[in-house]
Amino acid sequence: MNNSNKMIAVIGEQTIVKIFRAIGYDCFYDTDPADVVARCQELDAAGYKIILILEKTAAQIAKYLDSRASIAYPIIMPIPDTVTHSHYGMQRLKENMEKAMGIKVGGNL
Amino acid sequence: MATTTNINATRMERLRQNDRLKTARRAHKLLEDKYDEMVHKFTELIKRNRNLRELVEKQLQQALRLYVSASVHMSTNAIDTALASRHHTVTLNCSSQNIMGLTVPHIEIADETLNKDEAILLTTPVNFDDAIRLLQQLTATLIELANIEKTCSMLADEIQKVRRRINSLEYNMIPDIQSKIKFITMKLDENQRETQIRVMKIKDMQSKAETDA
Repeated sequence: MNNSNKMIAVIGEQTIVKIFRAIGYDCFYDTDPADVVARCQELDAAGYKIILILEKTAAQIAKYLDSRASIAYPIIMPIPDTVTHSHYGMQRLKENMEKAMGIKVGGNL
Repeated sequence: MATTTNINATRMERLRQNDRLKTARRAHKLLEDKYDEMVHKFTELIKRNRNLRELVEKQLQQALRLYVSASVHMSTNAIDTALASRHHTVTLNCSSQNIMGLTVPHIEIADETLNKDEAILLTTPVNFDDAIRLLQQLTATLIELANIEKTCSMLADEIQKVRRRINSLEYNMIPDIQSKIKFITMKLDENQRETQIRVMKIKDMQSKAETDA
């Protein structure tokens, strides 16, 4: 691949994530949770540093994401898609807040 | 509750338990200081994290919407050709940072180059180019968000662990050692009283025997 830098990867539906190829990210079109987990492990072994996953897919592999919470690399981060904005990224942020402070924060921080 | 069944009620053991108590109290204080500093750092980072996420989500959604609307008017081949014509590379510099003894990732853009085939621009819809331009502008913010989000996640994990250690020391270990010390002290006092009574009794018996004689 011309644009590949082996550093940032995007996983999600082909129709949405394909555009990231234009800015030098490697795109993988997996949507099944098991395939996504396998792909993340593969990318981790390949030395990718940042893996972006569409929120809809990321929400389905929450357990895997939790298990990677204390591991520095790769950074696996949910990003929103165009249609179903589930606020999963924001929800994870609130979970972190709850974990650290011991209280649930609903509104503004 | 302290388990006092296996304790050797001796002065040596009490000294040992006193040392343990001193160490536990010191560890408790150090962990509390570490916890306070970590929470302070976390509060700062989480605010920045939230602001960045809101910004990234807004811009990313806008870019993806533009792309989806543009791709409706383009064939798959046209999209592939347009994407392949842009040779945008981002080189990252990955290192690690130390926050209160916790090693967190630190990524920054080392080099960013953009080579595009200008001829392709004539054949692609405006929305398509706008979407790509938006995504290019977003790269630095996206990387900063990845850094901060991971740091927050790791800090939250560590804060939880430290809080558990503090609670374990405060509500389990320190009271346990204190009750052991109390048990040994009471046992030693009891032994001392027993010895004293025994001596008094013997003296009493001796003086009684002398009087009878």
